[in-house]
Amino acid sequence: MESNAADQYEIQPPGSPLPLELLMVVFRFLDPGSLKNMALVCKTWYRLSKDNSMWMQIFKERFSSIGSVFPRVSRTRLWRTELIERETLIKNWKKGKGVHNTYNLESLFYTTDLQCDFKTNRLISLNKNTGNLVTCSLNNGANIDLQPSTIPSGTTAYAMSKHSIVFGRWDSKVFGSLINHKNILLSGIKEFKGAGHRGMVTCVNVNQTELGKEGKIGAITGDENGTIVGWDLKKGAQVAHCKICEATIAKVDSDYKDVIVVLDTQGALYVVKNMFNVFDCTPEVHELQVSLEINPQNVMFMKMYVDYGDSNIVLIDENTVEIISYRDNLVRRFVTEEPIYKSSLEQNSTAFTKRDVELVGTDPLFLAILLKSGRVLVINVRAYEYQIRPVLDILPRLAYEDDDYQRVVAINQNVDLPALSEIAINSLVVAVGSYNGKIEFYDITTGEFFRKIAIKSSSKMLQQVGSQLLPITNIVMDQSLSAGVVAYGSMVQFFKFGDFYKELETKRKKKNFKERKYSNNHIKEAIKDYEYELHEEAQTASRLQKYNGDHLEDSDEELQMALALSMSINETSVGSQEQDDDLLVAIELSKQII
Amino acid sequence: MTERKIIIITSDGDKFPVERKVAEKSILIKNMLKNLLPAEDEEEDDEDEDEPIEVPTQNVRSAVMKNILEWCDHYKDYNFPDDEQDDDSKKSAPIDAWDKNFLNVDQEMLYEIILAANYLNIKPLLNAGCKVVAEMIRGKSPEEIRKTFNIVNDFTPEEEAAIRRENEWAEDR
Repeated sequence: MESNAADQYEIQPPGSPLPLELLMVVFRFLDPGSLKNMALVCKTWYRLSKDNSMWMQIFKERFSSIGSVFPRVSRTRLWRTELIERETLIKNWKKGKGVHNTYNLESLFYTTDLQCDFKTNRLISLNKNTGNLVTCSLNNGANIDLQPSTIPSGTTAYAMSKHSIVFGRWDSKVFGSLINHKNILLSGIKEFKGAGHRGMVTCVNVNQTELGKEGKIGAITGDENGTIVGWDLKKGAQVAHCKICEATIAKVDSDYKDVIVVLDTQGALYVVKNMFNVFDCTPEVHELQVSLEINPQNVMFMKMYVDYGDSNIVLIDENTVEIISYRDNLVRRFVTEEPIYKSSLEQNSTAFTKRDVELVGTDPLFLAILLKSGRVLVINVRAYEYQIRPVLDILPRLAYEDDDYQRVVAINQNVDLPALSEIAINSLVVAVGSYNGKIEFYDITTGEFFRKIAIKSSSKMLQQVGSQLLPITNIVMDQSLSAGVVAYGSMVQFFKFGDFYKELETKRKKKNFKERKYSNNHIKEAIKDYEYELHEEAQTASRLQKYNGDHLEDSDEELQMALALSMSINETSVGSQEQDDDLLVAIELSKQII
Repeated sequence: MTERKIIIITSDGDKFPVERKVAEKSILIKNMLKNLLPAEDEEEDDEDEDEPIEVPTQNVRSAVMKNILEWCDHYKDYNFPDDEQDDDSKKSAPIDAWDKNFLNVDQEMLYEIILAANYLNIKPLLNAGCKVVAEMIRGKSPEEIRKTFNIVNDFTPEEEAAIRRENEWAEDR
């Protein structure tokens, strides 16, 4: 900004006391609200609000330590929009008034699956020990609804989303149900129709974002014989199946649009395409010709993430992160000195949306890994350097300042506990949780400390588990607001910081209402369908009983039957209308049986 | 060795004798002096040794210059951190109390100080001045901002409504 002052005085906009260049300096110091209002002042200022390169400069001056690659909080190409939203969010995370609602869900112990839907304010949890499925209001734990022991015996793999739950069994059978906010299990767990599997079901994946239309694949299962099957969740029926390989399938993942990614127990990766084509479903299987360093023995326990927006598969082994591009068959590797304890991919839709490098921050995808010492490393899955370097490397204060943890480790020298127990990230924040309800939040790009919260817990709960250290088991953050949910023992805490942009919240409420209405209608429909199905089943059973020859004891009736049969076969057109449709159906059935 | 006198001449022809370190708060003057006095400890037998250096500042009038020099004098022994290395938190830091009081002048003077600080390249003063202006905008409605800055609303109601809609947040991310 070397001044050639004389010129600047001339471009001073009419009615504005300062030349453009200096107005820009003023804008640098504005709060988010005023940055929004400035566009409404006059035409000149409005034009300024559209000057993307100027706002980029202001953004870079304001966030000088952020670098050029960062996850945008607003999925935008406009720097002003990003600036306003980022500033607002940061303000909320840092200083926003905290609202904390803590509630106790007895059945939450041993839960590993916690589904949170912030838009419809719903929490679903599955207790892996008892099979109890619980749903309640996300923000206060009200409206608890419990469905006891839902897990079919013999289950070997399962997956759950906020819309559905699917179980695979040792005997190749697959069960599942839709989940909805009124009745937890919409139709009761029932067996899916289809015989694609020939052996034990070893993995299940469910579409997390939506239920999918009828006739479309909403869940995929893999078995020990290398076959995958796609299921229509609404009908509970098989849509397509495909033999991938000879080995056992360890992981399956999909965007439920084009691509299915399969990992087998030999450590081979496959990309399956064209399985979602409803008109011509002929799956094409490609084995990726890449040499991986992960240990095939670990594949069952490995974490696999897929970045559909930029064609990357991420595999996390004990202390290796391998990023495999299935577009160019390239492997990039990141090795840590100590074991990786947990990992978290950005909790938003970035991984499913095609990468747009024109977006503010070039649209990267961040993955955070938590090491055993509590160190947090963040890497960009979409970085193309061969040697991956972390974009952030911090040791959260909780990792060395947690009194409870220090005490327990000191008392018992043999305790081999990771310093932090949970990690979660979204496009702005990395959250880490340690023991006994403590959580810290940091800026994901700068590592700046935002805030710390602690959940008050009853000593009763600690006694219940007979341990002095109870780890935070789940952190789920809202995609775009400074809010989230933390689970610890049987406690759940909902938190939100600051008043969100008013418009945003009202907008969400409206949307939420629509969504609820939609889903209410959907439930009604589904219940009708279900009742109809029950009725059908009962009918079929009675028909089978009535018309299947074996069960007929009365010989007269048998004779009548035979007569009727011959009549209906020979002269269906003339056949009396009283021979109701039941009979025709029964004949069909008996033919099938034969 | 005695320091050579520096005299700043304003647009209205007034002369302000100042200490070198006060004048050098202005990067513009600092660079100028660097050119005029290549090295201080060179031969001392320069014939115009005792002659003061005159610095003309044709864009700044005396009343403004008086204020600027007061500011420079206050900070003459303070080294401002390099602007480039300024971290984010500092940028959002509130205005220094002394600056705030110093800049508590009428709007006309404030703008002139900002313009002069920009021309003379005194970043910290420029920033402080712009922060004060930003403070004047903070929390105000567009109408209030217009009033503050004497700006005429040149939008039609339809245009204004359209921009308001545009300003609303997009939920799709």
